[in-house]
Amino acid sequence: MGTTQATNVCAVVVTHNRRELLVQCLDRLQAQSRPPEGVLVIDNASTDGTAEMVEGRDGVELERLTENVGGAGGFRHGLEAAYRAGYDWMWLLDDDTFVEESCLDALLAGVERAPNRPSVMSSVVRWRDSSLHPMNGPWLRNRRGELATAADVRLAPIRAATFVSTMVHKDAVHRHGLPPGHYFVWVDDIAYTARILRHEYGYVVPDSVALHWTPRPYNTVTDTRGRFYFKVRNQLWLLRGDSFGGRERLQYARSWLRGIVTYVRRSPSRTDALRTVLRGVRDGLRREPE
Amino acid sequence: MNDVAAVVIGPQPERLRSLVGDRVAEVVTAASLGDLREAASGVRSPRLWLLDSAATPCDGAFEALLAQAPDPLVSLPVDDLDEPVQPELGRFTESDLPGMLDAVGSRRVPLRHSYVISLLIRRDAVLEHDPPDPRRLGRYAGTEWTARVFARTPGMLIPASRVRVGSRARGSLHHALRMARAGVWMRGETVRELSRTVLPSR
Repeated sequence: MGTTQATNVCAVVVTHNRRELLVQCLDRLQAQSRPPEGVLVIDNASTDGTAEMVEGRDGVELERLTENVGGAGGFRHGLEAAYRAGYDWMWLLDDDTFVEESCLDALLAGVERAPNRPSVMSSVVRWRDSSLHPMNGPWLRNRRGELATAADVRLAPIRAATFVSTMVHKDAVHRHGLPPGHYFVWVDDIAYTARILRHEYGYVVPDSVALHWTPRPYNTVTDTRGRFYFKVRNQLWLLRGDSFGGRERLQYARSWLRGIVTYVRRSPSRTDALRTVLRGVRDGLRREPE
Repeated sequence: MNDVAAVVIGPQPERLRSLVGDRVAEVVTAASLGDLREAASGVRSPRLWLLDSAATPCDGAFEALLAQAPDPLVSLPVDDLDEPVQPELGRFTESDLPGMLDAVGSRRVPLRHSYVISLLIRRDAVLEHDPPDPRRLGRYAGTEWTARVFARTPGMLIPASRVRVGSRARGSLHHALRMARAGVWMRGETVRELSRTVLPSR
């Protein structure tokens, strides 16, 4: 593909105690048809030998955190480090993301043909059986003219994206700062990319494919563990922030409520589920940390 | 020569007849969308290029449709600046995300319905459906008809095929109300289309 090698890309992978998955993730990154110029692993204080494994690999940098700050905190650290190092694009990936061989090449080719200069570029994220992963389905922008124009060059405009094979441009980081590390897990990616894409352009590239190797094709609602607390709290913070406005905010609020109802209904213990939700609402209504 | 007949729909079809006549096997005319089936039954070509007589296909519009078979295939309505004309675009099948991404990867966008401005379709498909009903639905007759046709054979917007459209008359309130009862529009579309008929255009 006709991508320019003058563009510098740093893959940022955040991990915590998933050494075997990380090995595969890094193998795939380093076997790219167009490899990234840098690969940075943010180790969230793993105790399973992750750091030793990464240190033993050529071409991979390691930043080891002294405590687990969650995926959100890890991506904030990684994005900041790569940005300060001067990379053009920061390519953000979970440690269970297995990118296809031409994934980055296709993303960069998408940048070249985009109808408007993009700030965010995202891959299509599939589960093990090749279906779209429910957690990472692209959030298409609701402007038909824009979609038609982008489709002519095999792109689709997006309104938000998850950190499972998503690139953010350095200029967007300069303008919008870093993702919200205090979210710990979940929704930090949506909050950040939606903030950027509220007034800028981003696209999903259908021929750039990444596999999200979760055990099941769950999403943040159907994954009914206590971690749902973070979704409730973070979405409230997101709704109070500047990622969405007007009708979008209302639609997001409605989906937040629907998610809570689904979560409570599907939970084995409704009492525990309601307690989780109430805790999330309480903390989400509190002042967001700086 | 290809196996396509152009059907020019609407008043003063001569302009388009001379514009597209040398690119298709034959050209027939229909006074309105309501006469579409009758016009289709009179041609031998297995495929039809349905054209609104007020529209002007851009260079390469027809070839871009031919290149993307199977039909039905719809051109992208654009203004004089080559920008898509949103109200004339029809509606995409946004609910089918995998289908949308697959189609975009082939430079197409799946449609739930569209206006009949530039549409490549099998003649049999035109003959096997009840024709559009402009007397009952006015400007929305093509929308209602394509919704029925695309429900059986998915329609695709081909952005590489562009057709220039001028400003078109708004739909009337009573036609819009009938459309709302036809069950083609979703809730948001119904509100928007009804408001378009009564509010001054922006």
